[in-house]
Amino acid sequence: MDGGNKDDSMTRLSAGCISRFYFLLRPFISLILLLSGMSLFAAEKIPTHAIRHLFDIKGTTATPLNLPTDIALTNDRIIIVDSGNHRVQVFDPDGGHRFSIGREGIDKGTFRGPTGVDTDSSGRIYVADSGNNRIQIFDAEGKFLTAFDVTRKDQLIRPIDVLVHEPQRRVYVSGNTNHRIMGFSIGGYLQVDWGGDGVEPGAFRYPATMALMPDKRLAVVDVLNSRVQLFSPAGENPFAVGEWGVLPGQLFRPKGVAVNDQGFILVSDSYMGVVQVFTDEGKFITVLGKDGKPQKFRTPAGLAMDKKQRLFVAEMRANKVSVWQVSPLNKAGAE
Amino acid sequence: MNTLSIKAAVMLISGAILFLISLTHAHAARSMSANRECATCHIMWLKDFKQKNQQPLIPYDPRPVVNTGKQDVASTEDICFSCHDGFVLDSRFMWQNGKYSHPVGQKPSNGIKIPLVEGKQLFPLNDEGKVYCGTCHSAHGVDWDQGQSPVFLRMKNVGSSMCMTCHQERTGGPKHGNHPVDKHLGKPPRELFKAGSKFGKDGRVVCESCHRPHAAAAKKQLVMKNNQSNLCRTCHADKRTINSTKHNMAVSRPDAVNVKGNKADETGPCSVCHIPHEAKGAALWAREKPNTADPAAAPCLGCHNKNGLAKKKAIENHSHPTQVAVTKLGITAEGDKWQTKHKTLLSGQEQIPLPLYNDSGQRVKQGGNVSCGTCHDPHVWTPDHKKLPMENEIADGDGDGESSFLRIAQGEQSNLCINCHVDKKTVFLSKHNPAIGLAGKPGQKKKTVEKTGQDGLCANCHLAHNGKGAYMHARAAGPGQGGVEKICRACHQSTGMASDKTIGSHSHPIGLNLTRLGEKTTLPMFNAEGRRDKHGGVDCASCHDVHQWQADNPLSTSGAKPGVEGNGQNSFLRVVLDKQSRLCLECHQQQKSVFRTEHDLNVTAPTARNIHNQSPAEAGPCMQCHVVHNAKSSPALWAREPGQGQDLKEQLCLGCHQNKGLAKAKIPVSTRHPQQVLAWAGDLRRYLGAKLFPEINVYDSQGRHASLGVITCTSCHDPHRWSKQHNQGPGQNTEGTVLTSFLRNQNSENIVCADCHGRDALFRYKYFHGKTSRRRYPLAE
Repeated sequence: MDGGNKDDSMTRLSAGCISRFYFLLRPFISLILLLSGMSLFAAEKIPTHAIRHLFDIKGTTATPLNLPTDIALTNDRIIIVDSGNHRVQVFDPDGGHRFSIGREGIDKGTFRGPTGVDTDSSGRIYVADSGNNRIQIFDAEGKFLTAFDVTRKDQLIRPIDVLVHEPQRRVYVSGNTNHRIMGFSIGGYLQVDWGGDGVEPGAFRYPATMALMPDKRLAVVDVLNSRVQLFSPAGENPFAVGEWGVLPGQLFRPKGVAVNDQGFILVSDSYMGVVQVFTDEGKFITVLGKDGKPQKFRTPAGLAMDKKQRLFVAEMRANKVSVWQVSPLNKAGAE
Repeated sequence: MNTLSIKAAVMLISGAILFLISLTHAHAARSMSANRECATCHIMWLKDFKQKNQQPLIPYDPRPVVNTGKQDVASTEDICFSCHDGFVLDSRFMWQNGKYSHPVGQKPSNGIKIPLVEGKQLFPLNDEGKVYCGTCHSAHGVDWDQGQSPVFLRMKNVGSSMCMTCHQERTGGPKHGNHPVDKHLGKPPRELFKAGSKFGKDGRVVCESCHRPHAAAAKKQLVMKNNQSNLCRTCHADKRTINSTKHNMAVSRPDAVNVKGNKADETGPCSVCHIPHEAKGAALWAREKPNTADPAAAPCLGCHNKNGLAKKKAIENHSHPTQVAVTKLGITAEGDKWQTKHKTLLSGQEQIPLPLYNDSGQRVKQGGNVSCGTCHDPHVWTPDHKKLPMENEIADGDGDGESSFLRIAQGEQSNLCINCHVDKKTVFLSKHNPAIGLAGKPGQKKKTVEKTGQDGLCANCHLAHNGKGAYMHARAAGPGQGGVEKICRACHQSTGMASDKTIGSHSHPIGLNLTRLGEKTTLPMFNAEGRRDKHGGVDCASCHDVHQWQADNPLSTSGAKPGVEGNGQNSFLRVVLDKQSRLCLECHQQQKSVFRTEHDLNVTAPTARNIHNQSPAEAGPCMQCHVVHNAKSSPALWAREPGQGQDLKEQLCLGCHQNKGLAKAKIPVSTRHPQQVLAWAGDLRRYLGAKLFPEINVYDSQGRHASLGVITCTSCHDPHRWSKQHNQGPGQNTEGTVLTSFLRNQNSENIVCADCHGRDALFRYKYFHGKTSRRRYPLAE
């Protein structure tokens, strides 16, 4: 019992000393905690990756761009969907105007609100003619070749983008109203489709632009799910890149996607006006910009990147496509 | 132990909560939740902005200042465009080429009345009191399930109901100077759909039929440019023909300005005269209107006056009347069907319904009045369009009956005039048709209107506008007293086209007022201007219907021959002159008592002929002694050769009562009262107090009634009445007595003769007057 009392008195003594000592040191402890807290909770700098502006493509005085939505590249051509003018414009690699394709209409070779574009290795131009619910195909000189309808079961699909997958000999189309990706043969026969309206992996809420990964997977922007989904050519193994939000690595209104030779996935965000870079494993790398300040684009939509690491950004409300030199990307992130 | 246990427990629970929170957050990015649904637009509600350890990609700015002013970020254009850019929903048209849209970033004008609901404006303004996207749009407004109206509006916009909630000053239709809405258009033109127009149920016109709130093609948010009236003419396609007419003031008068101050060459042909809002009354009129009796004519007269834009074509006096009910012409107008009571005259032709107007100047489907628009379609120069000039080439110069904006080409038969004036069609079957009347008179033909072929036959006598006198007469007035007489004698005079049909110096008097004379008639009377007036006097047209050769057979072609001579059965008489002289009796009822007397030549001399070679059977009893035109003398318009007499009355009577006359068996032995004796007529006698004796007819030297004059035949005799006791004669030649013999009085006691000749004056006169009476009543030896 005594032993126990002694212990108790010792405990009380030590507690009293600590208490008095604590009151003396309390201001210092608070200061230390505040400083350490500030260092702990200070806003992390936005990781940016340097880009350099090369030039803008605005069209000519006679044929100015209006609400450009998407870009496709060949070795010697820049093909831009001039959606506000219901046409496609073709430029040289340095931005010189070559020719225009189509005008507003419903006849062959005309468009109503075209949105997406892609090319194949022969230079043929594939256009998602949204308002006319069809894919139109032109030769490299803009001559109309053929078209196929993408109306499904009397439902107007309103195709947003088209992706030519030559290994599969397919043309993939993102459907706006059915929230699906459809793979057609070159002749226009539906071979595969997947998706549907939803938030779960593999489903979409407004699939938009598409890009082809080096490993031949498809990267599909899923606008209102604020993500990019990667799929096998058969629509299998969905994998999400990005998440909803406004922080670095998050997406609010993703619209455009481009993939470079190394498999880096570049995603434009039309509301936040930025382009972010992810790995094909979904890891956020960086935001294009400089010194922690993201480069602001005016409602960026479709993206394209050539082998020289030149990034083409369709800035819709700026009525131009801006061209940027992106310094080499690496998985470490910031410049 | 306990404390440590509690601390450990607290830490574990905290860790677990933090872990769960992190899991929940990660899951929130993938699943639909209320939080996410809201932040899809309300981006600043995201908790990411409150994180301290990571800088967001965009700054926290919940009420940014944008081009429309300071407002909630959820209603900024950038948020809207982030979905409506074609990748989610396609509203790209709104941003194409900076086209015209509903004003934003402006405070509402004074005319806008934003309704209040529970004290709050139904359509909110932004922090600066300006219109912004959120004024009309809200994700929380219209139910997504209802398909009649666009979603994202604050209220349903069925039939443009939402537009009109604020724009009340644009509602109410034409009565309030606005284009009608909710009007059934049937099948709206495809061009409008292509331009983005919308229509209500069953193709009804709504605000959005002309206006697009976003990305419109022209000012005022019009769906297409209208500077050449393209929008107007898309629906009003039938009005496109105005382009090639003088009424296209964009070309003919480019400096003309409408009430809005817009020039014609800026607004296009339609808006010079019509504006869809704030117009001046019917037809959405865009010009100042004169204060005229006929509101329907006011728009036309606004230009067609002496000081107006169309002063060369001013409408002045003696033009076709307006605001006259078409029923006055015997026409029943019901919808698209007209019926005339003169149907038999149409000869199988159908009347073409023409526009009619009410007293407010608006078109009506039943009944209605004639106005400018009845005859003229101001949008069509030629009714059959065949003579339309090329586009942008204006019809110049004066028009004619085939053009002049007439709704029906006149043609030779004056088809437009006759469409209403069916009863006048018979004029073509008479000598009043110059083609008939002037046949064989080549010298006279030049006097007709040169362009009769185009203007129609009516134009020979009538001009629809600016005539020379009453009935829009097309010729200079002739001589005469009556208004109608001057019209008739424009031709019926020695220098006129009808010089072979003049009325002579002794014709029926004009201007006699029957009412004042105590007579009644069914014939029309006319005032001094020549217009019908039941209180007016006799004029040519009282007896003649100049449009109808034969009254009892309007379609008779007996008068449709050159040089045909008329008689009592035709001659444009309103009532035939048969054996009963019906026409004369229309006014001269009292003279009917001559019938069946010895003075009715049907009884005593049926083969007699008057100076116009008319027999009693042809022209009736009246015309044997009187003719209306070209008489031998003015008083009594004598129709026979007069005899020898000391005064005119005596001459007339002795024309028959003489040895070679028709009444040679009735020659009075002593006919003459001394001419030196002058007697007072009734009025003067009464004035002098001679109440006992009735009046007596005394005459001046010209045979006219006088107050103081000679006593002659008709002082004692009333040649129209055999006996005061009988209304008609005996029907045979009879020897008279003092009770008959056309004597005005039956005895001498009460007549003026007694003044001088005593009370047996009549008896004595009869005794000594003739041989027969003297024999019959011999004096006692």
